[in-house]
Amino acid sequence: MSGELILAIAYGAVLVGSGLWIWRRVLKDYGERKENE
Amino acid sequence: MNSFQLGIVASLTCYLAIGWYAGRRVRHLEDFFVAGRNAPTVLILGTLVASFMSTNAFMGEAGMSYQGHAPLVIITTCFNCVGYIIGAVFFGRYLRRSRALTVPAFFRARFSSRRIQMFAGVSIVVGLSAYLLAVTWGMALIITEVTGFSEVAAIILVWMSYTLFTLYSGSRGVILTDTVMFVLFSGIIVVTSFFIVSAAGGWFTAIESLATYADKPGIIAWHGRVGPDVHWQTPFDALLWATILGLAWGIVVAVSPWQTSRYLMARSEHVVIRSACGALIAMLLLYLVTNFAAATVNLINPNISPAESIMIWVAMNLLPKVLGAVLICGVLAAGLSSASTFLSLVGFSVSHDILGSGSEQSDTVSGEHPHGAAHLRSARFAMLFVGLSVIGLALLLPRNIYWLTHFAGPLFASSWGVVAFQSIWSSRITESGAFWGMVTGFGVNVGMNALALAGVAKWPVIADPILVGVICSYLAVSAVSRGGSVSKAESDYRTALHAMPPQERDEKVVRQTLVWPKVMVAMGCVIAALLTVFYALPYQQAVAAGAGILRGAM
Repeated sequence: MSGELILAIAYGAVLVGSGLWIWRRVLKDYGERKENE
Repeated sequence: MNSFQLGIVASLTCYLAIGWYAGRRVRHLEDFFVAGRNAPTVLILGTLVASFMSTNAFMGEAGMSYQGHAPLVIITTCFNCVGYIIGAVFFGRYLRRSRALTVPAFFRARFSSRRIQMFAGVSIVVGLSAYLLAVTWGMALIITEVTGFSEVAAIILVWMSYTLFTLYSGSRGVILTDTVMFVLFSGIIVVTSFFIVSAAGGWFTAIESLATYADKPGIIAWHGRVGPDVHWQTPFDALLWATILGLAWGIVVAVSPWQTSRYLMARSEHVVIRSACGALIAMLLLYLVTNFAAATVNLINPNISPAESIMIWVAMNLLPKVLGAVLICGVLAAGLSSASTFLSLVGFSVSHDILGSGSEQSDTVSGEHPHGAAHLRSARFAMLFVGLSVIGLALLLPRNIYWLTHFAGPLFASSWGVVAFQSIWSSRITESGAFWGMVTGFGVNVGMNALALAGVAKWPVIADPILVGVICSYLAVSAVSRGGSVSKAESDYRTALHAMPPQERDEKVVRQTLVWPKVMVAMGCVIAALLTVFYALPYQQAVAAGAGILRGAM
């Protein structure tokens, strides 16, 4: 796999990874009722 | 009056009109400092990106890409943009929950410490005044080149344009004008890129030509140009530099006052999270487009000097007159939006954190403060005083835009980074630990940069002053906190910060917030696919074909 291909995939992966992580975090922090975080 | 002069005057008039409109609605201190804490996602997103992207993005970094290092700028962006998400989730939404008027005021409330507030305020005055100076010079340089105005006239025009609306409308005007400017420079850079690629023979021709570009070999290889005639000798050197700088600027994005203070204006915590997601998307797209376009300009004119002026050359020589004028206005808008944010923050810090009583939260639900009118007046006077000082310095000092930009921005990562995150997440950090952590990070960063500027030391990339400052700050916080104890007030305040406001759990609002990560995932897949099809594969084919032709010739 070439460096250019890795760069292309990594650029998109930053968005995919951040999106999945934020999704989980929002559900965890705001989706369930609890007294404190 | 030529089209550039006309465009600049028209755009400045437009910003002043928006500032005047927003300023009419300023009633209380909270309106002026934090835009009434009622800003929607679009305004926070606009001000986040506009205050980060200054003239440096369209001049310094575009020039670097023109010289053959676009992939490094793009790798750096990959890392630093993640700072939006980390900053919003681990610091920004708690900062908003504190209902402080300024970030130093948050530190005061968190550690019950006036000295921390004062030190953080002083670091804002030092760091952001220097940044403001650099941006003022950058904008004056553009105006001088395209209009023929004298340097002094250009500096005064630039200074007046951002000072007038910031002074009158405070944060209310700043976030509105920032958003208009964000739309302007984002739109025009996309249009400009089409013209550049078209003039270079179309997308695939441009990729093929750049892949085999003999004057600057490796200009769009994943590592950019490397070798004895540039700063990076090997691809690994280049990758290490981009990674370390990206991480360091990621901390800047996560905790610096000109980014996190935007969250104090957000309508809700969901707005904080959504705008951070939007800023990540916008920055990744804008940097990709701007820097690939800048590299492609080589195929149209490989001899632009200095490289930092390529967008000015494009505006004056490649685009139709009207679009050229809009591009210049867009680059100026990037500078003006940063300048107005810096000026407002420095003014707030002088009036509230350093000279003011520093007392904090709203005393009433309406957002009114005792002595609010007097406080508002003193904030405006402070801003005017700071503005006059900056214009004096801009006229008197020799220009050093590059150094000032790279000194002033990262200063906050070193000084505030560790303390900001630990103020939320550590139950062991003490007031003394926080204070000495800030002082140590600030001192190490300034000291190392001063030694480098004086030519006494040349720091290797692995010992970047930003990261050394962060590590030293962490060690100072840990060592000093170990010898002290956390007061009950500090502990109670931190506990209160972690209490989730019930209105933030509204199911409908949570569902709306979840749309943003969905868009991020979808866009990430699309961007990866497009970059593979339109960059990586044609690049490999062009390089292979070039190598074949070379072998045939031999």
